[in-house]
Amino acid sequence: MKTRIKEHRKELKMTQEELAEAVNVTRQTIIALEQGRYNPSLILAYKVTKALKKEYIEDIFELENEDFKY
Amino acid sequence: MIAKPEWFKKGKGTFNFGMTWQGAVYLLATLSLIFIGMMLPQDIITTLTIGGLFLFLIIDVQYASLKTMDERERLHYSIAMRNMAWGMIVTIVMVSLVMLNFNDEVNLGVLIVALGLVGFIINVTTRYKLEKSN
Repeated sequence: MKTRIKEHRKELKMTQEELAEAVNVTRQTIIALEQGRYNPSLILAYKVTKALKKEYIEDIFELENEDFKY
Repeated sequence: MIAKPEWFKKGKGTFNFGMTWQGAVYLLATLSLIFIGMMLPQDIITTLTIGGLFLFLIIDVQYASLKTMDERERLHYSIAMRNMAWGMIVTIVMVSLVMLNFNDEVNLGVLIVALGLVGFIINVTTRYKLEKSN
C-alpha cells in the first residue's frame, strides 16, 4: 500500500510522535505505515486521515496492484 | 483483574522495561507472595494456592499489557503466540519420544525447561522478524 502520510504530516509540521499520540498508536506503527510495510485497519486509516486533516482515506492511502492479489 | 493497563505502558529509553513503578511493585508483591508460599510446608492446598496465584498473575499482567498495545502490536503478539504454541506442541512430542526411547520415562523438569526455552526463542524470533517486515 502506498501512503502519503509523511508528506501531509510534514505539511502540518507534525512529528511522528505527535501523529502517533493523535491516533493512539506507537511511533513504530507510524514508521511502518509511512514505509508502506503495514496495512492499517479501516478504523486506523480513518483516524490517520482525520489527524492529517484530510477528508477521504484515498487522500492518504492508495492501493497498489499487489494489494488486489489477496 | 487487578493490574491496570497504564502500569504496563511502554515508555522511552534504554532502561525502560515496559512497566511503570506501579507495575514493578505489583509484580514484586505478587512474586513475593508466591515465593513465601513456596517456603511454607507443601501440601495440596498450598500447592494449589501457589499455582492459582501464579496463573492469575500471568493472566492479569498479560491482559493489562494487551490493552496497551495498538493493532499492529496485537497482530504481532497473536502471531508470536500462535508460533510459540505450535513450537511447544512439537517440542512436547519430540522430547517425550526421545526420553521414552532412552529412559522409558518422561522427565518433567527437563520437559518444562525445554518448553520454556523453545517458547522463548520462537517468540523472540517471530517478533524480531515481524518487526522488520511489518
